[in-house]
Amino acid sequence: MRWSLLLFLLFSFSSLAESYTCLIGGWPATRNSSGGCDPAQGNRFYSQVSDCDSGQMMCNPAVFGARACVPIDTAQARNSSFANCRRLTAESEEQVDVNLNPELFWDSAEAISQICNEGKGRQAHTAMCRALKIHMSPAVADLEPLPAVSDSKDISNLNSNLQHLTNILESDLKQFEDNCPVQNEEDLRAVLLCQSLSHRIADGANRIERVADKIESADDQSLGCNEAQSLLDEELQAAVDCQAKKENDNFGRELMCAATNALSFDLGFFQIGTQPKAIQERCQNSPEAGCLQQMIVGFFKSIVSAISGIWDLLKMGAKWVGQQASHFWSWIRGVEDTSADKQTTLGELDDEEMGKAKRNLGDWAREKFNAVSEMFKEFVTHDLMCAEWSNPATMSGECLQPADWNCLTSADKISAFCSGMGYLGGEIVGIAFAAGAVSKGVSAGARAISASLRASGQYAKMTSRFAHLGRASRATRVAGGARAAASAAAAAARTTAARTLRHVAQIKQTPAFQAASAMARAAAQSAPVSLASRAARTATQPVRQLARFEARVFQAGQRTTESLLRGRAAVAPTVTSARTGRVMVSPDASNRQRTAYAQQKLNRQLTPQQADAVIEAHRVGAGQIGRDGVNLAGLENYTKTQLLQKRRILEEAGFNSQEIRILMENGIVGQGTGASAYARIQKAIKDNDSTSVSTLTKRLKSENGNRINQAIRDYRRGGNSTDLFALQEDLVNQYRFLQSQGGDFASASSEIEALIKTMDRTVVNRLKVEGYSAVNFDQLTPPTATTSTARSSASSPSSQTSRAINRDEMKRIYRESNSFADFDERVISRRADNGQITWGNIQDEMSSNINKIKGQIQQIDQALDSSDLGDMAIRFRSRKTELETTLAKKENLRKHASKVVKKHSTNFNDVMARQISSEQEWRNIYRDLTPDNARMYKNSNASQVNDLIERGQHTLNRAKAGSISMSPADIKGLEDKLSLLRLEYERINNLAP
Amino acid sequence: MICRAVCFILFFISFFALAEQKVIEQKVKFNLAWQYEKDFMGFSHVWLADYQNNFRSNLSLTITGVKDLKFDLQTLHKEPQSYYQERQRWSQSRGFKFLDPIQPQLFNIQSSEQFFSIGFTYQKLDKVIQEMTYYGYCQGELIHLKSVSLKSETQQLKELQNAIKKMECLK
Repeated sequence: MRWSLLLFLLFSFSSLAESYTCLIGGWPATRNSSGGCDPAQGNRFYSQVSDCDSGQMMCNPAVFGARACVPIDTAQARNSSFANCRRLTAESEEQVDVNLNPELFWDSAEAISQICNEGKGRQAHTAMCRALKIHMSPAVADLEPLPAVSDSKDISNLNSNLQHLTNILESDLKQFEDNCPVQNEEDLRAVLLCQSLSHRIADGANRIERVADKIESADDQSLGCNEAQSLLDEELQAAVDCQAKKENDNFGRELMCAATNALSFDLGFFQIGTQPKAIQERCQNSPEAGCLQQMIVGFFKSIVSAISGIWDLLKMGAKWVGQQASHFWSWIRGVEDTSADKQTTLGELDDEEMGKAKRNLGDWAREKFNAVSEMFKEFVTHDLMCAEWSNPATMSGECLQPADWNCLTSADKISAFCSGMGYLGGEIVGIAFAAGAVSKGVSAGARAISASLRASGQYAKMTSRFAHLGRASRATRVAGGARAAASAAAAAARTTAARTLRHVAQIKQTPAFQAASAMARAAAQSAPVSLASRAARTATQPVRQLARFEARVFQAGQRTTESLLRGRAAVAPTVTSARTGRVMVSPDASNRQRTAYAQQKLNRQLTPQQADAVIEAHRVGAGQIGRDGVNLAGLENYTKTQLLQKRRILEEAGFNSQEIRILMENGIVGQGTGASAYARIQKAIKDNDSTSVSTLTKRLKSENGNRINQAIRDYRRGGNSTDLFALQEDLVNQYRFLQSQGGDFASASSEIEALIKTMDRTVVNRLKVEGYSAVNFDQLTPPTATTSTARSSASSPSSQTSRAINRDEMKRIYRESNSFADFDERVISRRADNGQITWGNIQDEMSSNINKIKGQIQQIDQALDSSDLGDMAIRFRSRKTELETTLAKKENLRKHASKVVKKHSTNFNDVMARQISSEQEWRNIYRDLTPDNARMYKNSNASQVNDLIERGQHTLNRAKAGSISMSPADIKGLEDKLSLLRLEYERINNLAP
Repeated sequence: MICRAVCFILFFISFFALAEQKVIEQKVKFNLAWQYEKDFMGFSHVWLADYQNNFRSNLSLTITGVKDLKFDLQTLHKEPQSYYQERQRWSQSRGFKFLDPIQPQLFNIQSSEQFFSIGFTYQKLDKVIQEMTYYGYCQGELIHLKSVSLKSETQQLKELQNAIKKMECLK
C-alpha cells in the first residue's frame, strides 16, 4: 500500500519514463539481444553521467547518492552489481538526493516502481527490489496505509475502527507539524512527504466522519454486553468530563474580554465605553477572543454606523459608474443594504425601546447585546443542539432534551456564538425585536432566531455542525442510568464518536490541519510541485489570518461592516516608495480599491476583463522569491520574469505600453514587498539616501512592534521561547547598528530601545520565560565594522549575485511544473468517468495549462535569447522540447474533453445527477477554503451548473418545438430535473460565503 | 357654523403641516407629519411614524454629497430587473421572503425635478413589509430616500407618498 502511495505520487509528478524492463546497478534499462540488462543501451541518462572504464558500470547516482564504478565483466559481477554499488557508496556521506538530477531521479523512481511494484519484468521479488523499495522511499516508508472505513454494523467494531483512524490522524498531523511546511521548495523529497501527509490527513478526517456517522445510525442493540459495560464506563467518564468542563469554563471571561476589547475599538462614531484597566489585564488575548470581539464590534457598528459615511466613500467613485442600471445598483449596494437593515430594525422598536435608544444609544446597544446573547444561548441549547425533538423528522416542535450549556466547552460556545450570531450580525437586533423578545422573554427571541435561520437556509448547515455536541450532552444525561443498558451503551459509543468528532473538529481548526488541507487542495486541483510546495511554505500565513472559528459564516454575518468596507472601495491606501519616493497603492489595498485606483490613474473606465487582468497581474509573484533572492517578491523586488508575466497579462487584456507603465509604477499591479524596513534602511545608508529615513523609521517601529506582539502571542499559544530570545537578539542588533550610524538614525535607535524595554518587561514580568533577561543598554557595545559591512553587502546584491539570481530565476522556470493534466490521459479519463472531476473541469484546466505552457515556452525563448545561461542552455532547450510535446498532448486532451462535454449534453441526465449528488463535497470544500478561494470556487461551480441548466433548457425547448424526439415522460423528467438544478444553483450560491 | 368648524380644522391641519416642514441642509424642503430625528442611529434625517401593529414605519432622507454622477434616471426606470435581483439577494441573505416587486415610476416633485421610485414587499416572520427607495437630483446632487412600512398601513403609505411628491428642491 505504501508503495502504491509512492506510485500515486509518481504519477502526480509525472516524469518521462521510458520502456524499461530491468534494473542493474540502480539503473532502469532494457535487455539486449542476449538477454542481459544493459543501461548503456536502454537508458538515455546513462551515457550522460557515466565515465567508467570498459568492463565497468557507473552506479546510478540518483539512487545511491554518489558516483562509483563497479565491474560488470562477468555474469557474477553483473549479478552482484547492486550489492557492490551499495557497498561502495555506503561510505559516502552523500544521501540519495532528488535534486542532484531531478529528471534522472524521477525517471529511475518510476521505473523502479513499475518493475518492483507492478511486476514488470522479472525482478519484482528479488532482494534488490526489496532493498530498493526501502532505499528509494524513505519519505513514505513510515506511513502505514489508512484503514478502510469498516463495513461492520457492530458498534464496537466501528468504535475500534474510529479509534484506529483517530490515532493515525494524530500521528500524521504530528509528523506534518514536524516536517512541514517545507522550507526549501527545491527539496522535492520533503515536498513529497508533506504532500502525501496532507492527502492522508484530509482523507483521514473524512473517514473518521464517515465512521462516526455509521455509529450514529447503527442499531442500539448491535452491541455486546461486555462492550456495553466498558462503554458505560466511558459514559460515566463523560459525566465526569462534563463536571470538569464546568469547573474550567472560561466562556464568560472570554465574552467579557471580547466585549471589553470591542468597546475600546475605535468605532469612529461615538464612544460606547472605556476599557477598565483591571479587566484589560485579566484578558489574555486568547485566539477565540478575536472572533468574539469582531462579532461584537460588528454588532455595535450595525447599530451606530453612519449612512452618510458610506455615501462619502461612494461619491469618490461616482464618475466611474457605468450607464447600465446594474452598474448603478451594484455601486449603491452598500447603501441600500445598510439602510434597509437599519430601517427594518428601527421599525421594530416600540416606544419604550425607542425612548431608551434616544436617551443613550451606547447604553441601549449594550443592553441589547446582553439580551440578544441570552436569546442566542437559548437558541443554541434548545434548538441548534437539541438532542430530541417532539417532531424528530423535521427537527421541530418542542425540544424534549435541550443541550446542557454548561457541558459545552468554552471553545464550542464561542464557536456557536461566532457562527450563529456572526451570521445574523446586526440583523439579530431586528429579529429579536420582531418577536417582542425584550418584553416577552428570551424564548420568543430564540424562536425568532431559529425561524430566521431556518428561512435563510442556514439552519441545516449550523445544525449539522453542532448536532454532535447536543448528542454528547444527551449521552451524559443517559448516564444517569434511566435507559436500558444496550441503549445507554450505544449512546455511550456515540458519545465517544461525538467526542472524537469534536476532537477532530478541533484538530481541523489547528493551523497544521488547515495547512495540510490547503496543500492537499492545491495538489488535487493542479498538483504542480511548485504550487504544492508554495502552499506548504505559505499555508500557515492565511491560516493565522482566519478567525479560528467559522470564519466563513462569521464573515457572512459581518455584512454591515463589509458594506462599510465595500463603500471604501474608491479610497486606495497608499505607501511611499523607499527607492523613488513615489506614492503608490498600498499592497494591502482590496481588489476593488486596486481597480478603482487603476481607473483613476488611467482616467478611463476598465472593462471587466481589464479589471480582472489588473488583479491577476497583481497576484503574479505572490509567495515567490523576489529579485534580491532573499525576500518575497513585492513592490520594487520583482524578478524580470515576474514583471514580464505581469506585462503579458496586461497586454493580453488590451492595455497599451503607456498604461502598463502607469499601472506598474503606481504599484497597482504589485504585491507587498518582503523587504523589511530594516533591510531598506541598510540599503538607504549604503546608497547615502536620506530622503526616506523618516518613513522607514516609522515603518521599522511598526514592523518591530508587530513582530513583538506576534512573538508574545505565539508564546502564549504554546510557542517556543527560543523565538523570543532570537527576536530580542535581532532587535538588539538593529539597535546597535542604528546607534552606530548616529545622525538621522538616532531616533530610530531610541525607538527600538523603547520597544526592547517594553518587550523585556512583558516577557520577564508577565510571561516569566526562564533564562530570559532584560537587555542592559549601558553595557552594550557598538557593532564591529565587520558585522555592519556583512549586513550591508547582504542586503544589496552585487552584479555577481544578480547573475546568480538570474540563473536561479531560470532554474525556477525550468522546474516549474504544469498541472494535474500531466497525468496520463487514461488516468484523467478514469477520474472523469468516476465523477472525481468533470470533463468541463478538464477542458477549463487544459485551456489554462496551454496558456501557461505557452507562457513558459515564451519565457524560455526570452531566456535563451537574452541570458548568459552557460551549460543551462542545453537543459533549457531540452525543457522547451518537452514542453512542446506536453503542449501538443494537452491540446489533444482539450479537444477530446470538448468532444466529451458536447457528448454529455446528450447524456444530460448522467452529468446532472453527478452535479446534484456532490453537494456534501462542495460543503466540505467550502468549509475549508479561504473566503477568496471559496468565492472563486463558487463561481466556477455555479457556472457549471448554470451551463447544465442552459443546455438542458435548450434540449427541452428543442423537444417541445418538435426538433428532436422525446417522449412526454422524458420531457416531464427533464423538466423536474431542471427544477432540481435550479435549486442546486441557488444552493451553491447560498453555500458560499 | 359648519363652515367655520371646517375652516378651523383646515387651518389647524395646515398650521400643523407647516410646523412640520423641514429645510434639510439648505437643499430640500420636506414636509411629513411624523416624528423627525436628526443624526439618529446613523441616519442624518429620519422620520418615524407611530408604533402601530407592532411596527414603526420610517423614512430616511440623505443628501448624499454625490454631485458628479451622470446617471440617467430613465435607465433605472427602463431596467428595473437588476434592482429586484439585488433586493432578492438581500431578502434571502436576511432570511426574509421576497414577495412582490413594485413597479418603477418616474415622477416630478413639487419643484418639478424628476425623481425615480421603485420598491418591493417582503415577508419577515408574520409581517409583510414594503420597502421603497427613491432617487433624484437637487441642484445636481443625488438625493436618496428610503421608506420601510407595513404593507397594510395604507394611510401611512399615502402620507409618505404625498410627502415625497410635495418635496421641493431649494434653488
